[in-house]
Amino acid sequence: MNRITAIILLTAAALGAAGQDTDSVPAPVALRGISVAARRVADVGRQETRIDSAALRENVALSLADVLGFNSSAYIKNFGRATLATVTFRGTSPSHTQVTWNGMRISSPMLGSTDFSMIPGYFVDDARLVHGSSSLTDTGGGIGGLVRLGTSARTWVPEGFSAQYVQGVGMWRTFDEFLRLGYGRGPWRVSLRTSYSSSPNDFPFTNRDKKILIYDDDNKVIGSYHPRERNRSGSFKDFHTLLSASYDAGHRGRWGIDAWYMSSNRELPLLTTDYSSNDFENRQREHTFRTVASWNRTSPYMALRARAGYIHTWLAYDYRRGLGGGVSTTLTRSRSHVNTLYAAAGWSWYPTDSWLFTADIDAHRHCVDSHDNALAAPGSDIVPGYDRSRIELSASLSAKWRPVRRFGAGIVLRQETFGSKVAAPVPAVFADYTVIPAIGLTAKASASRNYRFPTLNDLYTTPGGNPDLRPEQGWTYDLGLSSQFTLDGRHTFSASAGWFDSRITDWIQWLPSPKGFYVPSNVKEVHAYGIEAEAAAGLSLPRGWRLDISASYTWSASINCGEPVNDADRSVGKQLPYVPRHSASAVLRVGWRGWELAYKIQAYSERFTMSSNEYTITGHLPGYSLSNLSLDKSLNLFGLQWHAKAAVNNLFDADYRTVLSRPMPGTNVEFFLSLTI
Amino acid sequence: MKFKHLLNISLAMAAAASFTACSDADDPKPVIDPDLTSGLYVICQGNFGSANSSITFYDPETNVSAGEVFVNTNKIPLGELAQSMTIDGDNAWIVVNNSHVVYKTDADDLELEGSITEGLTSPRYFKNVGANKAYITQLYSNRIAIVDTKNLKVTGYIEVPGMDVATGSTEMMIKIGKYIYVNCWSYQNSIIRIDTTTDKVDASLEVGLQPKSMVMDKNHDLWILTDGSYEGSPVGHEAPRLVKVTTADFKVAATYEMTLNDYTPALAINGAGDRLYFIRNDVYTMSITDTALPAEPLIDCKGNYYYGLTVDPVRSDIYIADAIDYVQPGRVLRYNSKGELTQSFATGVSPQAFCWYDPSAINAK
Repeated sequence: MNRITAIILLTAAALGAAGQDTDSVPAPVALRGISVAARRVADVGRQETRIDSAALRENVALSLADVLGFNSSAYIKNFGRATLATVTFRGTSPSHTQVTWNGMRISSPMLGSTDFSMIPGYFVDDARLVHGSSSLTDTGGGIGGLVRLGTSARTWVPEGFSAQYVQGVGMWRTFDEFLRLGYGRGPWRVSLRTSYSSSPNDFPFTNRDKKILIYDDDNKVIGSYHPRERNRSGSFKDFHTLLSASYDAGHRGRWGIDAWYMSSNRELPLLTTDYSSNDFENRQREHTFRTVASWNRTSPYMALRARAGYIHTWLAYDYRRGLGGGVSTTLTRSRSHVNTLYAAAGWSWYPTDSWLFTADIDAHRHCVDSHDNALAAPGSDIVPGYDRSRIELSASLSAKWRPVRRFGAGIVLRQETFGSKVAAPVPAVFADYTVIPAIGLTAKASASRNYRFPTLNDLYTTPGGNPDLRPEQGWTYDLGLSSQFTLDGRHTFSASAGWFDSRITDWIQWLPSPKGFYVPSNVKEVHAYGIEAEAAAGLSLPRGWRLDISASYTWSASINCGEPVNDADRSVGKQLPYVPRHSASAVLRVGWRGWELAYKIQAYSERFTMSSNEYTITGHLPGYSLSNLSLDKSLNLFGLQWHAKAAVNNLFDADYRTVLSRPMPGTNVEFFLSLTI
Repeated sequence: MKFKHLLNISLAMAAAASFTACSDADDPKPVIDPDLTSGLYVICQGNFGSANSSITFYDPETNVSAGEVFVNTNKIPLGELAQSMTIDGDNAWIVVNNSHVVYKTDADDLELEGSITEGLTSPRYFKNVGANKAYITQLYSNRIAIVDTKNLKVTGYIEVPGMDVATGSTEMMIKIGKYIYVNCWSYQNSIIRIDTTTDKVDASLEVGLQPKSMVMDKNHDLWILTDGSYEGSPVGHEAPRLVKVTTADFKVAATYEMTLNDYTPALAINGAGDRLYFIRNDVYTMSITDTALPAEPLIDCKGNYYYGLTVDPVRSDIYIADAIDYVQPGRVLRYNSKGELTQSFATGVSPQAFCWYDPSAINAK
């Protein structure tokens, strides 16, 4: 991390904090200009980061991976621009991050992970990172934590008709279009969001992983240089449309339905070490439809909820190479159909102001049909792959107690089954104590067991699936402090810092097998521990100036504590590959009379590509920081609200890699024009 | 770094082609000189999706090794999935499978001299077959590329009759007289014979599912080790086998069947060309005149899945590649001919192939 980065992050951290969850805040407690939100019994011990809506709506070109990268300390493993991006926290793997949308798990049942580059920030109304043990209140399987996403027309559609259109234009013929229509009347709220993004994505870069040789007349090498190349096979066309409707039936409850369709057609970029000609196709196509219908009914002492959902995904991966003369060979022709049915019901009971009891149950039924037709041998009707289904049931009971304003405690007991396998009960206990009420300084602690079942690919894919895999499991402990208060009713501050400690056994890892393909095995025990810290401040300054600053930082040790494979195994005691020890981000926004200048920075320390943490050219990726700058002007003209924005990405033209040999773009510029009715 | 200065290696390696797939001699009859020494390149495959292949050099005389030779010499990564290396005169030809490149380098220190990048689908092995002419075998293809080694261009292809393009596979090559013998591994069950004067496949022979490796003995007969494919494979699944093919009539002379799901990644032969070594879960050895598989292993691998195997053509020491966890630098274990561990040295990630090097032979030219 360079010096500028460190100064910015430290400054941000020193300023204190804010921008947190405000929708659940009951009556504030006033004390000499400082007001502190009273803590709800539902929030006992909960450690959660809410992504500010301004960050989600910053520009139409941003995916949720981009948003989280600059607004949290989660590690974004990004394989390239508009390419696979996974999110991990607390030194775990992408499959240890559970992801829900309106309560339904949307992580791939095949892979266990979610591609956050496929989720536009503009489509998410509510995004929260629920850390470690706290995720067990919502769902199981999130050993690192949970990314909880929500969309709802109710949260933003005003009475009457509203509309917004955004047009983005960026370098390398990147175009982003976004249309949002809303209509509200009485208890009804309906919205439709549609976006389309496309680009050849052929950004230039200096390929330092190749050498072009210079020869003399005698064919002797007399020099060399690194070629200037373009990102090859990186084009993308992503279409999303999301229909949301809600109906508030008063005491009979609130109904809602959200239906999201996405169609993606992306090429998969080549590594920087690939010398092949352009006579090939390496492409991934996806059509996903997901929908969730919900019903919630709330009374002063009780809340009932029910949800039902469905996901269909068609996923195609084609890899073809030309053989010359118009002939090509298909190396991969993979087709996957995934159908998921979802149902959930829950009940909350507040017998008194100090007690809360909840009971929840949900079920997901995944059906996966995945085959690689390119591997079908002539004359054989066997196609490698699998066709399997699995029912995942999860039920939880919780009791939370806040006998006095300053103290709360809670317990969650979760039970899950995967197919015919029943997990051992998963307990979690939480407690918090307000140490200094004047500034809302609260100490929190939690402990939980957690686990993750193998994915369907882990178990059944052919070749390679291992039906004998055991679930990953472990214990997590959290201890932290948080504070949140408002000064003079105008300035908001929040800060939190916490220690986490997890031990995960039977860590699943895919390794090359003797037969030439990868096979998953339970190979490691991992001790992940570290510190998470966040701080934010929102200042209302004289003469219409507004200053918002937020920062987050994680120090994460993720250590292999398993038995050595043999006496030469040097991985024991070492940091896991692709887990940075330090990750940080900060955002500074300065607003004045419709203008807003935003500066964002994210930084990661070095990452190792090898389990033994080697400092070699291919064993080690140096740390980097990435800065973005944008200027936004909003104004009312002709009775319409206009926004114009210019954004400079990778402001300092950092030459960086998130993943070995995956090129990333240098400085680039985008422009956005938004019209709102 | 110039290994000829560092290592003072002085081995004549005329026999190399008979015991590894890396060297290139028209008459591969082994020549044994116990006073001479040699060097060993270890080709480390790295990981799929990561450009972390590498090459390690080892001097058996001094037990000194040097890692990341290509990277240190050229200051660029070797690429993704290095598959094989072949020394031909002054040059080492390195095939990097998923980078779709064959590097031409100085055999002495792997300094880059050029590369073949056009016209390759998924290159696996390189073999010089004549003046400025070489073959490159490939995966996902039914064609073997013919290469002009002077201009570094693919000049044509040899199509394998009856082989499907998408599941096609051609692997190691051994040259005997005017013929090149090729084992066809992935989804295949045959070896083929190519007439280098016509660049045509003139015969093929079924030997068992997925012939993984191939060596030639002192009688110029071929030994092939199959891996039997895997459970659920469209081409079937069977017990691996060791097969002897007599090249005079190009027929299967003997078949030694193993047990279903035996792990059989590698086959090697000693410098004299009369003793086979192979991994069948453990390391076994047998004479080429034996009529049954050995009952007891020479080296107990203790449950480890070792990946590659070679035999020192001079000392008959046995070298086994150990990938450890496949995501850290591996190691090579060196055993004497009695199967006693004598040395080990670190390599790059996933060591899987070997190439014996003879600088003295080059210097003598």
